[in-house]
Amino acid sequence: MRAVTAIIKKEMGVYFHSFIFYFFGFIFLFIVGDLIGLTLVNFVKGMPMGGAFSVQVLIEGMFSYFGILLLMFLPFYTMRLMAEERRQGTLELLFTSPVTGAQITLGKFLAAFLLLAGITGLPLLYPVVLSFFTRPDASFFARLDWPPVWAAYLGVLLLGGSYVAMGLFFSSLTHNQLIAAVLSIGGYLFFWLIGSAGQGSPLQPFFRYLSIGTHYEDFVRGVINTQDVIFYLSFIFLWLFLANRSIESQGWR
Amino acid sequence: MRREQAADWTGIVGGIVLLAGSLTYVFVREWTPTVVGMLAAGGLGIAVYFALSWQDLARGSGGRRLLEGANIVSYTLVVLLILGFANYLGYKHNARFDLTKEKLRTLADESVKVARLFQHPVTVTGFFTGKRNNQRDEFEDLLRRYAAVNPRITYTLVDPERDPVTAQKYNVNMDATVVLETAGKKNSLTETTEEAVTNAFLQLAGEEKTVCFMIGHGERTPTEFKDQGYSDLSHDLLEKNFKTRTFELLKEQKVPDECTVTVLAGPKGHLLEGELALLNAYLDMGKPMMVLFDPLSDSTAASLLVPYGITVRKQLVIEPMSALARLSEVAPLIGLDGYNREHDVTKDIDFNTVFPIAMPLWLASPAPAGVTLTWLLKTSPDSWAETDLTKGTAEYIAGVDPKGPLTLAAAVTKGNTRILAVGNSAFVANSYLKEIAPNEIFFVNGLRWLVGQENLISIPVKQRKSQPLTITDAQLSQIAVFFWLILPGAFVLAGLGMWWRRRGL
Repeated sequence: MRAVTAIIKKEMGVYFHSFIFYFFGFIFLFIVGDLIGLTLVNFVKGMPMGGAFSVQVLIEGMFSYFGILLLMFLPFYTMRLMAEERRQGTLELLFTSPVTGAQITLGKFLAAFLLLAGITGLPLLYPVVLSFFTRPDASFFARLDWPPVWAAYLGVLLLGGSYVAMGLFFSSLTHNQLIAAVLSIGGYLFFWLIGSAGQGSPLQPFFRYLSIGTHYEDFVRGVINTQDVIFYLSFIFLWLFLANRSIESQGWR
Repeated sequence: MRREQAADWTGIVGGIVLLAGSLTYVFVREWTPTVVGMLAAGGLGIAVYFALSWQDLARGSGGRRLLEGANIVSYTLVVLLILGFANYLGYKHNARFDLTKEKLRTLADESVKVARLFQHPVTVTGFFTGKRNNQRDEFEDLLRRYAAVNPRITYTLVDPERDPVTAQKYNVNMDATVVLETAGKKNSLTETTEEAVTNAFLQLAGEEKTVCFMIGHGERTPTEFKDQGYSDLSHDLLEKNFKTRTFELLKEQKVPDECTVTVLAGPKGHLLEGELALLNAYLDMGKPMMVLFDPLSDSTAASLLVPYGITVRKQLVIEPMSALARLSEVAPLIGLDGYNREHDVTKDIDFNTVFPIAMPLWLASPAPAGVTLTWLLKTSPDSWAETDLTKGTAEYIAGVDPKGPLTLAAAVTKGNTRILAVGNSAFVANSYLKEIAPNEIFFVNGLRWLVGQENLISIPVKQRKSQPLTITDAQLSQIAVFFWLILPGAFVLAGLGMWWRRRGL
C-alpha cells in the first residue's frame, strides 16, 4: 500500500505541474459551464416564472454530455502514464526498486482516477448554486432531488475509470504519447459505437451490452443498475489486468 | 533510429486516419466505403507501427518469449471467461434502484403485472425518425424496463426514413408508431406513454375480438378491395387484434355469437322489420354496435337510434374550414377543438380527421331516460347543414339550413349497451384510409370503447416536481458568468499558481 501511495503522490505531482492537465481541465469545465449556462439562460428567458421548469432536467442534461466529453479529454491525461516512462527509460529504474508491476499499475490508475474524480466533481457546484434560486419554501438540501445527482456522478466515475484503465493500457504499449492518445480515443470510440453494430440481428443485444455508453444511460437518469456496475468494474479490471501484463512484460526485458 | 521514426510516423498517421474514420461514422451512422476504407487504412498503419516497434523486442531467447506470450494469452482468456460469466450472471439477475423522488424510471405495479403475463416471446418494434429523438430515447428507456421484468419482451428501433422497407412491411405511415407482436397476434399504437404501452400489451395478451360487418343492404365490406371498400381497414384491424367477418342477418337470423362488436357500414337499402327487430334485440342484450350513416342514403337503419335519442335527416354538412386544408367544403375537417376531450374515444386525438360527404346527427336534449348521450366530433361554428340536396350547390340560407357547430359523431350508453354513431362511412374506406391516418385512430378508439377496452389500465403520468427558478436578470447573469468563466478560470489560476511557485523554487 505504501508503494502504491508513493506512486500516486509522484504521479499527481507530475500532473499538477503539467500544462496539459490545466489546459484540458479548463476546456472541459468551460464547455460544461457553457452548455449548462446557455441552457439555463434559454430556459429562463423563454419561460414564464413559475412555469414547469425543472432544475433536475438541467442537471441530467449536463451529465449526459459528460460521456462524450470524457472520451475526448481523458486520452490526453492518460497518454503520458506509461509512455513517458518508456520514452525516458525510467521504467527499468522503477523495476529495480521494491515495487511490483501490479503496484505500478494500480498506483498510476488511481492517480489518474483521483484527478478525474476531482475535475468531474467540480461541476457539482452548479446544482448547489442553482439550489439558492429554487423552491425557497424547502430547506436547502431538499430543494433538489440529490440522490439522482449522486447516481449520475457515480456513473461518471465508473465511465471515467473505464476510460482511464483503457488509456493506461494503450499508454503502456508505446513510448510515443501521441500514439497512446490516438489509440485511446480509437479504443473509446470503438466501445462507444459498438452498441449500434448488428442492428436487427440476434447479436444486437450482445453488442449493446458491450457498449460503454449503454451502461451510462441509467446512471444519468438517476437509476443504479447492478448490471451496469458489474460491467464497469469488469471493464476496469480487464484493462488494468492487460496493462499490468504489458508493464510486467517490459519489466522483464 | 530511422526505423523507430518511421514506425512512429506510421502509427501517428494511422491513428489519425483511424480517428477520422470513427468520427465520420459517428456523424453519418453508416458503414460507407469511405468509413470502412479509413478504418482499414488506419488499422493497418497501427499494425505496421507495432510490427516495426516490436521487432526490437524480438531479440532475446525465443523459448522464453514464447512462454511469456503463452502465459499472457492463457491468463487473459481465463480472466475474460470469469468476467464474462460474472457479467452474464449480473445481466440475468440484476437489481435496479430508481433514486428519483417521483420514481420516474420505475414501472407501475400494473405494468409489471401485465409484462409478466406473456409466456411467449413478444417483439416490440418502434418506428421513430431522426438521429436525435427525445421521444425515441424515452420510449427505449421504457421498453428496457419492461424487458427487465420479462426477458421474453424484446425490442427494436427502426428509422422509417432509413429503412422504408420494414416500415412498409409493418404498414407504418406515422412517426412514433409502435408495433407489438406475439404468437401470431399484433397490436399497434401511436402513443408512447407507460399507460398506452401497458394497455397495448394487455390487449395483445387478451383474446382476439371479432368485428362483424353486416352486409346485404349495399354496405361497405372488409372484403371489398376497391376504393369504397374496407379491405385496408380490415388488414390494419388484424394488427390490432381485431378479426373481421361479414354476416347476412336474414340468412343467419341473428348476429353471430362470435361477434364482439357489430358494424353497420353505410347501409344504402332499407332494413326489413324483421332485421330491425333482430338488431334491436341484439342491442337490448347489451351488445355493442357502430353505425355509420351516409347523407345520400335513406336507409331505415337510422330508426335503430331513435330510441337512444339520435335522429338523422337528409342533410349534408358543409364545412368552409376544410378549404384551409385544400379540401372540399363537403369533406368536413374536424379541428382540434372539435373533439370531446371528456370522452375516452376522442380525448387524446391530436390530429385533424376528415369525413367526406357527411351528415349531422341530432342529439335529443334531454336524452331519453336511462340513456347517456355524448357528442364526440363537432364541426366549426362556420359550418352548416345543407337541406336542399337537389340544387347542386351549397348556399347557406338562414332559418332553413341549421348552423354549426354540428355533431358528426356521438356515443350512446344505456345500461350495458354501447353504440357509436357517425354521420359518414367513407372516412375509413380504402381511398381515404392511408391519406388520413387519424381517421383510423378515431375508428379504432371507437371500437375499443365499444368492446370495453378503452381504459383497461389507468396509470397516472409521473411528472417531475416543478422547480421554478426565482431569479432576477442580474442574478442570472452572475450565475452564467460563474458557470462560463469563474470556475474554469479558477482552475487555470491554480495552474498558474503552481507554475509560479515552481519558478520561485
